[in-house]
Amino acid sequence: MRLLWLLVLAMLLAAGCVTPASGAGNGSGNAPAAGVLFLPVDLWLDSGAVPLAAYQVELTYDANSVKIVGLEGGTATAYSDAPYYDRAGFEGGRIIVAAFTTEEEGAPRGKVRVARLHLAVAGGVAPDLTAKLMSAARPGGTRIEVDVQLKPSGQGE
Amino acid sequence: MEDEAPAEPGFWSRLIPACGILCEPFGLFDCLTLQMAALGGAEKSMNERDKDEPTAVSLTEESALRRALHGASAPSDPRILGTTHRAVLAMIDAKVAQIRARRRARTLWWTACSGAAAAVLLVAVGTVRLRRGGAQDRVAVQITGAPRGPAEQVDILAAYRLACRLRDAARVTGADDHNGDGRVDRADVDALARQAVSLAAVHAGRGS
Repeated sequence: MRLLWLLVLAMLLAAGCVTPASGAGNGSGNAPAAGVLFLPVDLWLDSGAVPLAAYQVELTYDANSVKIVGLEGGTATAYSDAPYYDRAGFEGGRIIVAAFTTEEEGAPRGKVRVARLHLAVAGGVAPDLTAKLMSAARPGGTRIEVDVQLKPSGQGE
Repeated sequence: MEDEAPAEPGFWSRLIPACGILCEPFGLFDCLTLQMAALGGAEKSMNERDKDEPTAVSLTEESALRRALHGASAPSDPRILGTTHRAVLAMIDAKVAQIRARRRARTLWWTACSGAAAAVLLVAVGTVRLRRGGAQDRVAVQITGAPRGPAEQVDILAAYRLACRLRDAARVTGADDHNGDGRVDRADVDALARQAVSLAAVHAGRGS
């Protein structure tokens, strides 16, 4: 019986190892599979000299060709966790991401990557993706204006 | 003729304890004291007379005379105690009836006061509870009511400000209980943030 369980476990492990290996063999992060391009895109905010305590950004994309398959945090310590988002926005052509930090000392200044989106783009063409700032604030809650940029991973740093 | 009526049996055994317990506050003990003094008066005066004026009467005669006097003034003598007993008993009965009436009135008074106080307390507690329950209901209705329109769309700054108030231990109200769990904590901040990024709320605001 124990041998049977070990056999099943080995088969499961083997199956788990094969799947990433097949994707990794296709290139450097971009993984086209059946005409689909997997593209990570970074969301950058530049608040200048003002610390960034909170942000809310609206992203729009072509729902026919683009799907969001993952969303993670950024490089700034205050925004390293995944932001708030609505999972319905992964396929509907529109998504809102937002995050904040209550640690005034930890609020980043200048240009920071606050989130990374993992896109699945059909047809292998460059996705039409736009970002619009909805609100941002400095510590204390005062609204500020920040510059918003979307860049493919590895191009903004 | 009434004075010659025999004393009721057990009169003194009833009278003395009753007077000791009940009649002391009303001065009835003075009456008993006087009576006992009268009973002993003859003996005392006889003794004093013996000291002051010694006579030739023999001891035997003196003893006989003393016994006779004692017998004449004993409590069981119907000629002395008949009307007195009845008068004292009537006074005792009257006083006992007064005491009982006062006790009954006092018991009724305290019972009524206690009942009134308990009723007031119950009404006060019920009123406070109703008001608190009403406030909670209002908060719950506000939260779970109609979808927010465009003007009510919250953004991440609302969550940020609530988080800062919680961090600073600032005062929060029932309106900050956004998830309706009866307390204001990090879960309410998360609820606000999720509401800020919710697409369903925006769509509802757009009427789609």
